[in-house]
Amino acid sequence: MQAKNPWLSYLGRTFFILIAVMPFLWMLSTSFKGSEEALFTTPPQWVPLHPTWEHYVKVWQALPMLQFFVNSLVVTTLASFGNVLNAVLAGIALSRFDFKGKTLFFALIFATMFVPFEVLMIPLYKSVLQLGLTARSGTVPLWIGLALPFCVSGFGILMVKDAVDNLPPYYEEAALLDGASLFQRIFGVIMPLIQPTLVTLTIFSFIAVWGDFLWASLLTNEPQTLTLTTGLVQLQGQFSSDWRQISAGTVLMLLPSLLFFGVMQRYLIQSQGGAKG
Amino acid sequence: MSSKAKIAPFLLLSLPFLSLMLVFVVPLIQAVSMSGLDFTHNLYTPQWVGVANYTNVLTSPDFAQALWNTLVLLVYILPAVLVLSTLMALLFAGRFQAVSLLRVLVYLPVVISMVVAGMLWKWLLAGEGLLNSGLAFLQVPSVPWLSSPNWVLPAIALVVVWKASAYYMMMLITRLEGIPKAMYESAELDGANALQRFYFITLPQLKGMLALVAMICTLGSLKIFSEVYILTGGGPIGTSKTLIFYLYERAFQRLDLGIAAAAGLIFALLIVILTLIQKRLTAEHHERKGAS
Repeated sequence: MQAKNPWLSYLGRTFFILIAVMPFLWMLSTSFKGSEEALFTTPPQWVPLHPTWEHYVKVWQALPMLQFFVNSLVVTTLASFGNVLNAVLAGIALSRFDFKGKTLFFALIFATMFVPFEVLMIPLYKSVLQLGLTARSGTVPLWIGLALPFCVSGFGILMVKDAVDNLPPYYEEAALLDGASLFQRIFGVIMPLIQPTLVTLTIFSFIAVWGDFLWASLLTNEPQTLTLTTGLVQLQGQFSSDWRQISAGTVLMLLPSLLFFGVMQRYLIQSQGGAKG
Repeated sequence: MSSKAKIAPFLLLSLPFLSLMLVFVVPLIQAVSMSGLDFTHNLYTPQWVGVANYTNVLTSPDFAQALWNTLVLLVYILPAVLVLSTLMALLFAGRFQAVSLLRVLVYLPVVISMVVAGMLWKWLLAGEGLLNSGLAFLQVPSVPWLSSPNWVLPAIALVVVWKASAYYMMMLITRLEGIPKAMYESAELDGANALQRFYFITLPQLKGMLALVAMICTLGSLKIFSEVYILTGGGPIGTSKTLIFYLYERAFQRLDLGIAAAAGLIFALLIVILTLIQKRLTAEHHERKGAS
């Protein structure tokens, strides 16, 4: 920005980009290196001397990758849907209505932001066991159990409330005069108008649940029940010290995130100024 | 109409309220009650022990070590994140197509999960990993990044900083782009050099956002778990165990649920206190700004 000396800023940018990208490239390079090829070389060997697919094949055969992917995708979708729905319902109620106990509800929301999930995790785990939301009762209950803790967030509710606060009430009043019901006004009028906020909330929620490891590690252990994060840790146990195979597995499990990022990057790294205008 | 309007908010709130009860209120009450019970003799019929779990946690050397490790990590991470994310924000701000394309690349570490980041770096930091083979090329002896008590916390901090900096960079860029161009132009006319412009214009304008970054980064650093689980498993000899690692170990490996619940609530209290201090500091900052 204050580019008096463009070379300095080119140098700086190159440095940070290299640091950000290097670990990915190293993993990619390792995953294609032949079994006989030395991993520790001076200087480091970036281009595999004997490139091979065999590690990918091995990992794909050893672990149910597609099942991991489906588990992650379903759980993340369920949780994000719940989170956005709850945020919209509560956000609109808090922004557009006055009711008894409103202050109390606000207090509850702020409390959720202070108490870390790790504190609630143990009782939640017990409840999920009691409700039968584990792999023992089947895949669908497990999915629900995995998504449950992420299906509501104080942060999301406040985000939607804030967006609705900034919305002039004319549109809803016009719809009301046209005889639209409460839910027609919510889904037909308010939600389309706060779409940027909902997209942001969905993305945040998606990234958070997709990356969850702690909660998923409690509920899953059998290969068929694992998500991509817990599966990745399993991979480490399976191929104990062969970094070529661990790398191949990591690259495979990384692909969905990169794809998601590729599609969503416009929303993710757009500065707020652009979103507002 | 008016009776309808009265029940409408409750209708809307029913689902969010039930969800909050299920995933927040009930577990919190249970955590408080569990923290007064001893599960070690019988997991299914725990004994009431009052505040014994709390005194046990607070006097336990393991907890003290975990608290110390967590604070050391915070001391490494917070200044590095503040400096690097500011520097990155200055370098990658701007509306040009080319710059926003580059922004995609530096943002990559933010998008992947912590588990993937842990794996990437476990391999970079391994005995025969990239870092050591680079060092060998420079004739420097290998560093046992993850297996030496002296290096393990800096190594974990490095991974966290690598993963998180671009996230905070984006927060700072949104603020940077709001600074009126005219301020820089007039400063330039007055003969201020780049460093002076940064110190007298950019930094004061960024202060509020930097405080927010510091707060989010602090809370995040206190909760470090997955990175430790993947990189070291808490070793060597417990030197990288964090607070959440301690809690996890007590609860799910030793099934000492009472101790874990008590440790969790102490942890929550720590977070509340830190947040209040931070709030107070930023409020004072705003007051001073208002007064001047």
